Amino acid sequence: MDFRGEPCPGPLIKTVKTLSNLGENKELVVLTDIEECMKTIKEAVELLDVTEVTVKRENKHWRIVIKT
Amino acid sequence: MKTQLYTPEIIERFSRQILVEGIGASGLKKIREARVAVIGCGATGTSQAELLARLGVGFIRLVDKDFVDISNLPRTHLYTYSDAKQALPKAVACASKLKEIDPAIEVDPVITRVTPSNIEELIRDVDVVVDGTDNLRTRFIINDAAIKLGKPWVFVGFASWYGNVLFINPGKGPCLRCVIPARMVEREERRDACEILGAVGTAIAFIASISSTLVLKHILGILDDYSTFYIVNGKTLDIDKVRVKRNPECPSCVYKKYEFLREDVAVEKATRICGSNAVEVMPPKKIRIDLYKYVEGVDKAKVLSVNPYTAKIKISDMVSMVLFSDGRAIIDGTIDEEYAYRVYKSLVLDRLVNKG
Ligand SMILES: [Zn+2]
Repeated sequence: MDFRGEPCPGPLIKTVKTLSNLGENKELVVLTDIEECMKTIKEAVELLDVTEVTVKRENKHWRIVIKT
Repeated sequence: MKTQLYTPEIIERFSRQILVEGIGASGLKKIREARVAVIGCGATGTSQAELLARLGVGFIRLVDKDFVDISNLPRTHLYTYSDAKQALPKAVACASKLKEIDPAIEVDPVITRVTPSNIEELIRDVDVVVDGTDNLRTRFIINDAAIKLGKPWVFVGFASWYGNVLFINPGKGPCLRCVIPARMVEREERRDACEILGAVGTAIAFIASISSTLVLKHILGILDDYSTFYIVNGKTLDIDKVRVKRNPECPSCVYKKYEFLREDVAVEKATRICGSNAVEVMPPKKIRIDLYKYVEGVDKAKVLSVNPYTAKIKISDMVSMVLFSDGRAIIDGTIDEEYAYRVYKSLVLDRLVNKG
């Protein structure tokens, strides 16, 4: 999911909605170029029962990988 | 999901709050995991309970001995005309409304009068206690128990357009007794002072908003001031902040005497309820009444409402009785204690005896 240029809460809501339909042992990749939004998505998703959340800086954006 | 406190829908629900600087997802977690007891579900209690439930507080205990009356509706949040017509206990009506607001939170309605013997049990397993009461004695009972158990609590006083708020964190600032002398209790309880005080709904919402903000900040770990006494004028909309200090001779928080926990207040069989046109009658011993069975023996035209918690019986055009399943009754529409007891005796005690 590419949210570059889009401020939260839109990307946060779309991310958790997608997660709720994803099922187990799946991977969701989220891109954002807004640091606040990256932090918000990471922290909020960590409240949910996901296996792993990793964040990597790539050029001008962050890549958030969520494993369910 | 870890618990039902966090689901994608809940993250979406609180997404605007998560965005707020100083809250975030970590703040939501603190709020969600917070446990609060609201003592008294009247005007200030319901306003604070609603604010806290909407903020996302995960556990809310609601303690009240009274039922919803139509005269409560202009000042209280949450209650409806239908709750009043059914004479639902305030704790039950408040709990069901909070559940409607957020089905994922846990609510715990407790229909009881707060006494020195039950207060510790009511607040032992919560993080913060919220004052929704309407009298000083109960507040001093909460104060003593809160100090004894080390529980933070927020004092909320109000009358007419005005209010006072003090967030008390035992050991970290003054307690209620440091600030208000105990003799004020007797003054408040003197018969001639037992007047019906009005209150304005907008002023209550203003006061409740201040106290709930303090509770929120405490839950978030960003409240660092436990010595400010807020004096709120709901008419001019002024808020005065007064620095208050611990009294080095305080019987409660310094000498830990807990005088208000010492013994149960002698409960007379019938007592006028301060601040309302009603008398409360206590059963002579512990009883439990099946209210549906009870109303079978009452003239149908006189049964105004019945539910698992209360039965409302018409006595005359001006007077009605609300009987609770624990045998307690509130005779509404009179301040004559002897008359109220006679009504209770003939309509409740004598019937129970006849039934064996
Ligand atoms: Zn004190």
